Amino acid sequence: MNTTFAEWLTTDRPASRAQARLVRLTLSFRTLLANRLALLGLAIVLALLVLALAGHWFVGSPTDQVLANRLLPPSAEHWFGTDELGRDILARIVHGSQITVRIVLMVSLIVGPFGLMVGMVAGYFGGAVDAILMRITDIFLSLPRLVLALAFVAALGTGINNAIIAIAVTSWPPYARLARAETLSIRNSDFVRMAQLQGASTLRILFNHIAPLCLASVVVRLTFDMSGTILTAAGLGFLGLGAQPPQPEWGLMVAAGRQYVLDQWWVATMPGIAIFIASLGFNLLGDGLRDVFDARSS
Amino acid sequence: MIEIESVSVDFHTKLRTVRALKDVSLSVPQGTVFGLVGESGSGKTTLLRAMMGLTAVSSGGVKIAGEAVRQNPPLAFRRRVQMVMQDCYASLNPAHTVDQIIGEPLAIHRFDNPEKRILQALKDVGLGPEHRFRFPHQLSGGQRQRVAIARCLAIEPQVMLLDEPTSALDVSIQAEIVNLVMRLQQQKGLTLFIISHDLPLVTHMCDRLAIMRKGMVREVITSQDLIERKVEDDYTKVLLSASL
Repeated sequence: MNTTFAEWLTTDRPASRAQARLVRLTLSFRTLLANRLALLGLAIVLALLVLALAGHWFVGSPTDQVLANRLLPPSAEHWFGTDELGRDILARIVHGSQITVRIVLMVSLIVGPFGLMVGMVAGYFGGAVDAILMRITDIFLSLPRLVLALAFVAALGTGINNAIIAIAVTSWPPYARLARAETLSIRNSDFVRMAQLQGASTLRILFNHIAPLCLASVVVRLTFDMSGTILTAAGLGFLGLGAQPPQPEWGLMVAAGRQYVLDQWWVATMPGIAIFIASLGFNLLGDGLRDVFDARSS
Repeated sequence: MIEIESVSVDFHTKLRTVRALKDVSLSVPQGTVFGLVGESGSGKTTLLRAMMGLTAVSSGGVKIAGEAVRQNPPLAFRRRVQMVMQDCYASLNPAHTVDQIIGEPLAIHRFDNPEKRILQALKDVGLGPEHRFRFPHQLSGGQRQRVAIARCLAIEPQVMLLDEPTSALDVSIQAEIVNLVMRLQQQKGLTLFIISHDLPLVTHMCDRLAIMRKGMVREVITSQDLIERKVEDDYTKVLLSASL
């Protein structure tokens, strides 16, 4: 049974669309597995997701203050030590992963589709549409990301949702450029012309013929940028413009630990390590995904 | 089926006007195979583009199945008139499986039972169900051109325009594709319009053919006459002697 199922998953002549899709997924996954570092990245990202979804059942409250326990070093009772208000740093990091995952997912879901649309429309229609859309993109691209995000948060007010909006607004332009470049290279190809000759509508050509070809590079870029998103979110938190106390946001925790960094190093170091590992995981995964998509296109 | 009446096409540049087609008139009855032969730059492709409504004609007009061709023709016209392109590597979307490629025109024209039609179209062009979920890069050149033909046939067109359908393939595969096209033409009673610079190929495939040069039709003759060398035009004679 086991071998037949494995064969069913890797057959070169699938019987149905669903099976063909599964076979494709299996083979892509194997390419990913062949890359040790990508596997490590995938493991880190999955661990982060599990931590965000289920971690809060295993640790205490992130906001319970026990002033008698302030600034305790890592021990059997408090694995990562306690902070200046006697809160367990491990509990705060675990709860903080929810905020991190939420920011990363929301930003990716806003930025990917939006950038893709802008780029495809600009590239496909060309002319004035292209000029206008790309000049707008250039304006956003010309401003440093964190500075622009700071300006948005200053205007919108602090908080996680506003941080998400600020990061999204500042990070879509590279996706628009990427999608535009891909669209330009395929909009005059024979298969797009063929679709036109078959009577396909513009919308159909954009979504069925052009989007799938842009998607690979956009997804890879998104995965790479997730680490950047984590860092920007942490940076906003550090500057006091993202999450607000007492929320256990990692950047905010580093900022709070700054005063004790010489004597009580763990207060700033533990959330810093969490930020480092999470962004490393997304980076490694992005590397592996790029290989997977390359294998398919070659 | 296809009526081309004194079609002229001009291309305007800033400095001058180039007349790509001069007063071309051709007529192709239903269910016959017509060939268009000419050297590069003779206006073959321009005529094809005009027939598909991709290029505006300056004067004259093309009628297919009684309907005048215009730019951006209605969907029903697209269904009746399909085209196979020269480069089978570029005319298939690399991100789509064969299944999606053949299913696409079926979805555009809202055919029922796409599942059955895709399998039938594959069978018609001599491909098996094992090819259905492959990507174009997993197919050979001949198989790709078969997929391109299956894509056209799936929506049951009346007229098929073939732009150098075999020139990107090597010789042994060329014969396969030619035989496939001829078999399908007879089975389905298609009207074929084939463009090529390969005189023997066109003579083999077509009932009648036209020789083009410099945007003009020099001669329209039957293949039989060509084989028996009953040609009148000097250029046709040159072409004929060059192809032997």
